[in-house]
Amino acid sequence: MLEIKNLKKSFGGIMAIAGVNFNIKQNTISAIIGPNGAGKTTLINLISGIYKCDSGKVIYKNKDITNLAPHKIVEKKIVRTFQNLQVFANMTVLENVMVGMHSITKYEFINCILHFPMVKKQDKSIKEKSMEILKFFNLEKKANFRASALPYGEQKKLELARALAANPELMLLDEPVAGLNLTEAKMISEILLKLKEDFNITILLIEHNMNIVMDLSEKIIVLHYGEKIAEGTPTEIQNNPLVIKAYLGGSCIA
Amino acid sequence: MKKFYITLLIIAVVVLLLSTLIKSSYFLLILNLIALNTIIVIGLNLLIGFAGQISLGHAAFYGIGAYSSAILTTFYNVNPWIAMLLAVFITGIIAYIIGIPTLKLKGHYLVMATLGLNIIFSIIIVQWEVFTGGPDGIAGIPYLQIGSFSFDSDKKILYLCWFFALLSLIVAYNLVHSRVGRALMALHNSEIAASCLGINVSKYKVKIFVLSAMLASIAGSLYAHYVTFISPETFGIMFSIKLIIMSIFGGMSTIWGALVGSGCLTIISELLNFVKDYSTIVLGLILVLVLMFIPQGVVGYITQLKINNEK
Amino acid sequence: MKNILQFILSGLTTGSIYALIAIGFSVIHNATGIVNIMQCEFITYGGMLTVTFYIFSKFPYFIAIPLSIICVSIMAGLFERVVIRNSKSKDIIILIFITIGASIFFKGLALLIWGSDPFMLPPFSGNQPIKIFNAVIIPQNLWVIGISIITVILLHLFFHKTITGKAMRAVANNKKAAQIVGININRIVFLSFVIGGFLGALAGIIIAPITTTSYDVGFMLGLKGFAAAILGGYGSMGGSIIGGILLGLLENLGAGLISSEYKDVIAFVVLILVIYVKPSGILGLAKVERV
Repeated sequence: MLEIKNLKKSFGGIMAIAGVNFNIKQNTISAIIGPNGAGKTTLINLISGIYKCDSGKVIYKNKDITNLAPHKIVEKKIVRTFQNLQVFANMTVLENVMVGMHSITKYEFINCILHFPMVKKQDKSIKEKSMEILKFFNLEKKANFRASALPYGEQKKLELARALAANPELMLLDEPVAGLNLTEAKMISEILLKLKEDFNITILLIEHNMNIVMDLSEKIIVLHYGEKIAEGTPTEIQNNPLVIKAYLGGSCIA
Repeated sequence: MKKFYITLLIIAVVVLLLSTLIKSSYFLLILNLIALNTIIVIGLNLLIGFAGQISLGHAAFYGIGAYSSAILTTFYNVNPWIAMLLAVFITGIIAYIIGIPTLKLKGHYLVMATLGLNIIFSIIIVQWEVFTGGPDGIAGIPYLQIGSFSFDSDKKILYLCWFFALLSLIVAYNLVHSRVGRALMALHNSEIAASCLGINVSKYKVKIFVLSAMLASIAGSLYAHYVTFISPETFGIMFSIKLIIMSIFGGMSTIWGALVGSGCLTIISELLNFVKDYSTIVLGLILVLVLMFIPQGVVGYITQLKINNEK
Repeated sequence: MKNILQFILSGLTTGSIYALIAIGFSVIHNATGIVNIMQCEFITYGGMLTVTFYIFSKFPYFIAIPLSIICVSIMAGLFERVVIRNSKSKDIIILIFITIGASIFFKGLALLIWGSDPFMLPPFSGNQPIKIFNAVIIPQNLWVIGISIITVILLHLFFHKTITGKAMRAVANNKKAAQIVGININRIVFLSFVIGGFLGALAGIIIAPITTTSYDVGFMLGLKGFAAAILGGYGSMGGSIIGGILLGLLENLGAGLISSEYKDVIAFVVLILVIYVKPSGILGLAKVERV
């Protein structure tokens, strides 16, 4: 479904991504892991169109989507979340999810200003759909709270809910459980499984929490200094000497 | 939703009442200026308060509206209504062309660029005398008319000004509570996150810029056909600053703030004429104190009080 | 061929003034993130206080000038302490408009104190024009350029050789990190205003013998200084100097060679075009947004 071909990106002489190749199959959960600074987030930024790559290709469903603008990528039903939360703080929880539906709704300025009945109808229907999504995430009671008033864990969930609202086929999740406690992390990983099973969403995630990564993913890609050093099932990765070396290095920091 | 329209109705009734009670044309003028300023400030609220893009150059769009109307009617004998429409169109095109490169800028650079554009506009209308009448401005601009009914007095034009003012409030209200409004608020929060949800950030920024410029242009045309005389100093950088002060004063992330802000500041600056030499000092002091202690603006402050009470 | 050298000389003079003002803007920006419109009033009060001390109190220049600069620096510091620090909102746009409000206030005050007539300060040393090739330069221009150069050198030394200066640069780079290593941000902000006041006053004083000074002289000069800072890259001292000189040259060459009525148009058009092409100014670094 998603093919990354020899992708390269450098920032002022530093190779952040040095020719990475991999494939993601439909309706799977895959993970990108690697030490800090390995280029994981850069990779997601390249796929989602935030950075332009220097060379290489991103192919999605046999179509070249390399260097498309972020909002065009969303039209291809690829949605991402962020490592450092990017919920819209001064909007309500419900409005956050409704913004998520931007790409699946229409009506531009003129229609919105004139507020025709069909605009009202569409607004009503996305409001209902958004409430359903909030229910799925167990956030419906806080629909009218300001997003900034939610605790961290719920903001993390809200960002997932907002991404789900865009009706994606592929989700790119940048550290979905970072900073969460054990129960919260477990809850998110259950949600992710449900997204895959019930919504048929393909997931590519970056995560440092190895328990989650090993539990969820069918495939793991290991990055180190912008290069892919291993790829395989959780068991293969756990026993790969290169990976162990990259993680443990010469020092003893795991 | 209903509450909004009821409030609107109440305001309309109050304005109508005032218009029958007030005999002095000076007070009617103030009432009309409040309406005109509201039209511009609501556009600024959408641009600054909702979409998060600062413009220190909106007096120029007000001026482009006024001068287009004036030039078209006095030089080319165009019907005032058509002139007004053309003016909105011209302003829209200019704002679009300027907006594309300008709105790529952020923060202080955006402030500087819009401010610079306003200064350029001011100099051009003073220097390009053949067209703009130079520092003397343009006189003898015709009144707006419907059939044989001419909007030729303070009272008659009041209906027109307030019609447009209330209409622009409705426009803003509808826009804010729609897909577009949510997208604007989203890109205000985080442009990257907004674009990753499918929002074409640069397109939306330019569009809201154009809309706010067009609103300013309408106000400008109304002003020209109302006062029938325009001159450059009305459209200078000081007025741009005043407009933003109105926006902040009322509460720039609110709809009613536009009305409250332009109402309060228009009245305050007229009242200050009574203290003559001290007027600028007092104005400056009011500004500093309001911004220091109620930075969310009058309407923003009231809304916050309400929320706190509910809790 | 018109006298280009003449235009360049006057360009360098106004350019130096713009550069000083631009540095004032930049220093305060680096500590606070705001555009301090009060800079305009620092310029006005520098010039007008010198008028008061020199013309009315009959102090000699070497007392009147330092005294004015000290007064303005104190005024700038007090403004930070009393107004900026006590603002409820730390939102940049609110703070900017507070400085605009304060600027309106002080402009009104200046009008009350000194009236609307312009004042002329005598040049620091003689009025005998000096001939350089086919251009003439009055000594005051040399004073302006010389004092500006010395000020810039002293500032450079301050920012690179003293602990306080280094702390200010650290704050400009990364406020949080600076705070963590124990730098007192409040003190740095205060100091930045004092330096801003110093530079504004100095600029207002040394230009006064050339252009006259009045209660509203600071507004246009301040605006140009802000433009210069943006042109060079906001927040950078090198950028401010380049932006200032460039703007001064642009104005004078534009006025001399193209049209004096449209000199500001030319200057601002070039300014806007530059930031369209390079949205962070000439020396500004483009930021890669991290997410």
